[in-house]
Amino acid sequence: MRSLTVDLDSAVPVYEQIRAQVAALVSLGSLDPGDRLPSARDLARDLGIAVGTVQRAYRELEAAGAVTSRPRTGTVVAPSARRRSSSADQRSFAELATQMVTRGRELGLDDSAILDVVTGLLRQPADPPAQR
Amino acid sequence: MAALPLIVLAAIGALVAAVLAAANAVRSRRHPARSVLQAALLHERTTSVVAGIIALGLIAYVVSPAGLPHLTGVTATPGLLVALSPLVAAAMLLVVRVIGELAWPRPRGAVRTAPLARRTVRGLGEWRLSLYLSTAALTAVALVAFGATAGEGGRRVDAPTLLTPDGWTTGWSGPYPGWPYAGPLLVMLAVVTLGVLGVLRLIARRGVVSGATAPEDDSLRRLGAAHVLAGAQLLVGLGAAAVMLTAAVALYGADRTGAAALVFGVGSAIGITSVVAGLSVLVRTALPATPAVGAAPIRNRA
Repeated sequence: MRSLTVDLDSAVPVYEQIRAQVAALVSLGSLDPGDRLPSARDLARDLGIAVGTVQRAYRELEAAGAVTSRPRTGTVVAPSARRRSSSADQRSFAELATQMVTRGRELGLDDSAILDVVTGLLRQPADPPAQR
Repeated sequence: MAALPLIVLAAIGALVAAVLAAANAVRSRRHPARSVLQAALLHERTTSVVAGIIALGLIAYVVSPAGLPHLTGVTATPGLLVALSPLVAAAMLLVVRVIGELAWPRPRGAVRTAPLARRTVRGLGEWRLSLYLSTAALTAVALVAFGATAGEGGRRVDAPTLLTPDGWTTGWSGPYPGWPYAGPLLVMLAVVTLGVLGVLRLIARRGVVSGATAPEDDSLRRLGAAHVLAGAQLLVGLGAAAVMLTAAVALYGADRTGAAALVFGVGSAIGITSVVAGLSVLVRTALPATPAVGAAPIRNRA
């Protein structure tokens, strides 16, 4: 059974923790297109947080094309065609990321150090850096 | 005398329940759970036991020598309160369950986990919900049929009119659950059925038990739903069986043997099925046998 874990003391906002975990589950294929997510009200009650927090996470996921909201069905994982990248591409990238994380741990880096490297890379400009 | 079979049935049920509960306790000791789960199970079982004691206490009073004569004549329709008592007991059981569900502690700690899945009343109820709804529907159909076929006054059933050498003859037999009984029973059945669905919705919607993994929390909810449905099945099923057996006796007395056999068969089937289904909840496994693979670690911080 898939689950979400949020840390209320974390510097990362709770809505962002929810968004990131759902997006990761979709990217890794743990959530398939058409899978229904719990309603914002139910998830908020389960986690003991405000409904608006979950609604914001769902809105951002919808804006990213990861989920869609339907009037009677609720929030469901979007079909691959609506996402910015295909499921195959996402899985392929997930495999690369897995190798990277494995290698980082082999080198003795802890998870936060690996995350710092990735975050730093993502903050660099999209163009490749000039060769020295 | 009519109460004797019910008393014997209740005694057998209590004996079976005691044996099964003891077996469950032994099994729990062999497979000790974490303290947070033990506390959750204690809450769930305490709620169920209190609800069961209150419901069975009411039934025991109704069929006791002290209660039965008093309750039989207290309403304009003789025995109406006795006929309604299983459904009233079911309603009381549901009230206790509501209090128990509202008393679950809210999620605590900085780190909180929740399953990323939708919970539905149908999913939590499993086969017990289908069985209960089928029992309620069959009981409702039978009550409408009894109301429609009752004779004058609604408390008897007329025998077929026969031509004899002395002329046309007929007769009647009772007590028969016509509209004076079937009407209130139908209303109470609807109230209890809506109550069951409401309590199941409450179980589906309550917050996650702090410290429990997603599979453990799911098992706790399913256990609660099973307890609610088992109690309702037992009380509604036995109440329906009692009404149907009363009707069957009246139909037999009115020379309607075919209808009597049909009603007797349906009533017996409902009664036996309800007892078996109701008591089977006592041997239900409370929690998943092994920790879920990939379950999120729980780090409770106050």
